[in-house]
Amino acid sequence: MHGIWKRLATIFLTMVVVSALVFFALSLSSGDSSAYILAEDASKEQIEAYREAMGLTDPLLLRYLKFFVLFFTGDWGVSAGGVEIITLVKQRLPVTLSVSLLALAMALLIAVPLAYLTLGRKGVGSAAATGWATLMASSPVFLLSLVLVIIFSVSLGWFPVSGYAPLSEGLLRHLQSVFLPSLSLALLHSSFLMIIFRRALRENMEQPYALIAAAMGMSVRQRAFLSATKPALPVLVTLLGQSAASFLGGSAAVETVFAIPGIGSLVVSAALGRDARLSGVLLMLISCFVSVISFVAECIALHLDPRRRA
Amino acid sequence: MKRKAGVILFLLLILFSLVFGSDGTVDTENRLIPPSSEEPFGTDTLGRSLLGRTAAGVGISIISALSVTFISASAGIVLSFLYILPRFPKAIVLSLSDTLKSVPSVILALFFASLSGPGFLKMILAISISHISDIARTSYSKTSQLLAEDFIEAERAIGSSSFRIFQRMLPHLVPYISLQSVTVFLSALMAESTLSFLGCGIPVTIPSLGSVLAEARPVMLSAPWMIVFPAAALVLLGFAVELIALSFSESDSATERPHQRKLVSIAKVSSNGKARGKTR
Repeated sequence: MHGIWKRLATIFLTMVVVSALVFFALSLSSGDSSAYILAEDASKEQIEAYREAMGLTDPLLLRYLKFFVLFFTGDWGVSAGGVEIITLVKQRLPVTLSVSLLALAMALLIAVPLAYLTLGRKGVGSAAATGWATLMASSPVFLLSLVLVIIFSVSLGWFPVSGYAPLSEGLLRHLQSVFLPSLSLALLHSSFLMIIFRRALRENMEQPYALIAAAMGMSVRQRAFLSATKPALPVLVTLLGQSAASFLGGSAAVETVFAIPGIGSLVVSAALGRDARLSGVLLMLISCFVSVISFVAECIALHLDPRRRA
Repeated sequence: MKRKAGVILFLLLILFSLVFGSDGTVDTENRLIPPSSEEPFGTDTLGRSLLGRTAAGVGISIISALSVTFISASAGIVLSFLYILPRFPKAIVLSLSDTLKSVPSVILALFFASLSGPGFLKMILAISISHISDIARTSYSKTSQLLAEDFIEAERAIGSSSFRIFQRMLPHLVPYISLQSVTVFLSALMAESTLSFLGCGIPVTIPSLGSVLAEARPVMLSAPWMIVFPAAALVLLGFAVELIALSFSESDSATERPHQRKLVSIAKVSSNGKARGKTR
């Protein structure tokens, strides 16, 4: 139990560190908002009055505390385009969730069967799977999505080149529009998942309990399912939790390539438009999200592995 | 074998970048010319030679990935030394590294770019931060594992300074640090090209593989060579580094048999102890 509380504290600490980084970067770089909110010929008194009204004359630490508390109440301020940041996030979040969940499902569907099929250390299948995973892992995700667009959208015409169809336009069209973005994320992540899950399976196949199973006459496949799967599962879950960060980082590139209005493309457009406030808030949100995910993954892994509970 | 192939491929790519690399001159008369004997890679949307830009991009990508690797590896070495010091606040560093682990480096770099525009140093810093947090954790477990070994115990018993202990430890850290450097290099390469592709990494005036590919995207159907050559260079570069990484992790598991290492360390300590005893 002690470990869980420590991990929960880490989530809070993450928010403190990231929000401090964002807050001080914002207040150091932009001076203050009086420079671009007020007219250029504003008098000194007007500027002073504005600063007083906005609380900009308060000590820095107090302003930081305010910023931190406001973040948790959902009051994130206004983007450079004049839209409330929370409405932007509410619009974009379902899109990113849809892509990420589909990508997660596809990554598992590729990685797990492949790990079982290529369990043997020798043989063409194992080497081919390793080579494929190496190639996937050594090419950046935006390149993968470009290649997928050329193959599936341009040559075969199965999927739209870019754009997003919400669920309200029909399930099929929605899936068609998010399939390729999800596939490119899934191809990248399935490579790590496959390699590491397979290694965990192989290690567990050499443990005494698996050897006993072998002595009792179980085949390799039976042993892989019956004695190696359960102890290898926590590894897979932990790895999934750890890859949440690269999932979200990768979605920035993928969503931009496919012109999908998700959180990732919002971060990119904020960076291109020099909207530091918007991208700072998004950075905090994403970091919070990632640390919660990895916390949940660790809890599940703990639950799956009785040995680590003691 | 794998390492040799990887290193040779990597050196060939460096040579390629040194020989052919150039920003290219704008020549609007010759825009989007397909590959020919004169222009082996064709020309881009502004009539610049794609060969030169691809080669220059390879160089820029290697330089930025190397900078990240250098920063991260140095941080790893310094931290391993600091972990030896008894009064070093390990808990603070470790929890800080745990918090930074949940910050995706690409998103962090995008935030830095939104502050005052993209820049080389900002990008390097953003990518390094997440790697350093990773290294802080793994180098701690490596160091504490080594600190429990007998030869460190022996050094402590004869009253060696922390720096001396670190010197003894360093050879055992080298395989770990080299493997870590190679993986950092690979993921820095990915992050840099992604950021430059998005227009938020290296300023667009400098050709990097990512930005050359970004220029190719609007015309990729009518001018496929614009995408094929830089993409091939990027994949080859990644593949070369991946080969080196694979060879490291293989040799690592082969040489790191605990009983063997123990034998070596005992032999080392006993000869050391004698030498020291004589001088005193």
